[in-house]
Amino acid sequence: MTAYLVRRFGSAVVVMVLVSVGTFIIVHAAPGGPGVLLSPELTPDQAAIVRHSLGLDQPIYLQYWYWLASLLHGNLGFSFTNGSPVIELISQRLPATFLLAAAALLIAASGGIAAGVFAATRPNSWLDNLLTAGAFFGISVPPFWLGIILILVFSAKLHVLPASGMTSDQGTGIVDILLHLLMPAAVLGLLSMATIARYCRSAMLSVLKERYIRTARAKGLGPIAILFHHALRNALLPVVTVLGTTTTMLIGGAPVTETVFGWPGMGQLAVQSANLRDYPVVMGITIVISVVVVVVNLLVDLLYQLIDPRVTLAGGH
Amino acid sequence: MQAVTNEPIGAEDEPDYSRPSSRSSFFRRLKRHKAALSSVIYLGLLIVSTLVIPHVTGYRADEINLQSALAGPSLAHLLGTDENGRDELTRLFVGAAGSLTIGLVAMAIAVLVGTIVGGIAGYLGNVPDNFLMVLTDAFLAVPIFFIVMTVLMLFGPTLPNIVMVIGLTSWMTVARVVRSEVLRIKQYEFVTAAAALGASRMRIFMKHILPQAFPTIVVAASLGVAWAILIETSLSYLGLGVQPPDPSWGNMLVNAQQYIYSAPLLAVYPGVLILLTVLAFNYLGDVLRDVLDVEMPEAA
Repeated sequence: MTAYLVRRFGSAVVVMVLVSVGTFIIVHAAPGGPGVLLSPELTPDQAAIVRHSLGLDQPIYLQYWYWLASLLHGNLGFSFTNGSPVIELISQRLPATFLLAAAALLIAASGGIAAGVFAATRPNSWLDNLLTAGAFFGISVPPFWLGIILILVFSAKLHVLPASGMTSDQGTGIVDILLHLLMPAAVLGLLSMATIARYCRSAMLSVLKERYIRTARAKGLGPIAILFHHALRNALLPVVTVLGTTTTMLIGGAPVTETVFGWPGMGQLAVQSANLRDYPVVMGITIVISVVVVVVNLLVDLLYQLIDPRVTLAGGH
Repeated sequence: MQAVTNEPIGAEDEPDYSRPSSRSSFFRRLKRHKAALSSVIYLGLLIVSTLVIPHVTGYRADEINLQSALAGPSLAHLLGTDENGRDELTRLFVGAAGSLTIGLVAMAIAVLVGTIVGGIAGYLGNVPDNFLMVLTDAFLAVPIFFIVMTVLMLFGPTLPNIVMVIGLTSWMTVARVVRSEVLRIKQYEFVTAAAALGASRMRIFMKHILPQAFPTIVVAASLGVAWAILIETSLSYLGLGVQPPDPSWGNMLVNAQQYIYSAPLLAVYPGVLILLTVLAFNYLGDVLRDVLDVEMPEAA
């Protein structure tokens, strides 16, 4: 177990170092170099002074080192458009993104597991085929278009759900937020739902062939008890492994979904800032998002080690 | 005690000769899959339409006519016009040319990089393998879309930049499947035989291993086009891809969303084309996986 922990932490650190080096290289390779991170309104003389004060005239490895050190102190620079510290802008937007991702994960996991279980009980039935077709649809539909179509149907035609934003002027409280949350979470969760359903289906199919399932049937247990108490518990283990990838996908999908639905999260901020060429904000978000994703993946892997009884036994004795 | 068998020694290590050996049998098997056939027909029609339609509508994609803005379908404009009175049909298929070109070229870059990375990792093993696989995992572990946005913001959303950045961030799946194919193939006797005959490592890889991995690469390529088109349209929708006034399926939807109450059909056409095109490439990849007997993770 200890060896595993060390290796897993090590790989997370390697990924973070690669991300930081990659981001650093991208900025330095960009036209104008790291000078693009200076305000475009500076005169050449002023720019030279700022360059010197920022250490941009120093050797590249030193620059990387200083940049990394200031990152680790939470200094992500300042926005070009309004001068606010980037870390502040991000922390204002983070809760909305997490709320959306959590709701999408809930929809994806519950819908995906339910669909996977039912498809596995009747392989090659119409339900199973529908699931396969649905999974194909899920990976092929452009999420922003699905969002627009949902807005067209539920907001423009049926007037049952708000088209945009997180709260409405006259609305109050949790119900209002939930109504705003429904469509973006469904769109964001759909792709992951398809993945989870496929994983759950194949895991259930292989578990249902196990001998202990036959024993349970021979004991006279009902199909519901076998399905949920005996089979699903074990089938969920491999499903947990895709939760890490799922989270990566959910957070990676945030720019598109948040933009379609005007959801005030980090993805929307990144898109707005990118279109304004507000470099420090976009770079800051990319770095923060990468850290979040790497940490979540690490936690999911550790969780898997904890809940898999076989792994605990092997490590514990 | 060894079981007596008629199998030649080492038969279990023989390559699988059940793969389609001739072109005609390949197409016979392909035809059995109706989904694949309809995908191929759809993509053929799409390519022909893309080449023909912009020249026969009598409009240019950037031809503004504010007097006929947001007009419904008519004989003059078969699919109506957008908010600037530009012909929707013309714009859809000029946009198709961009999306298909970006999708195909980005896929080619991704397949090239993935094959090189996966090939080197699988064939050389040891340190190069470990290094390249850590790199691949790192690329898979970060939210690529944000990196793509950052690069396009810094370098500018020009066509070559869009193609390069999508290609250079989409090679990881190819690298993994090519690596596992190469690991499998390099154990075969014909590889040992080639080495015994004095063939160089480069020659063995290019002439003996790579052709065997070709079916896997074809499947990865088909799924890769689908992925690249989805990314390009998303980027264009966000304003970081194809720039107006050039039409793209993605940026056409930005304006369509603004006029969703008055002209809802404008929001439908580009999306349906994206959906069908991505679906066609995904189906094709899936069926090719069956037909070519390739082991590869599902598209999802």
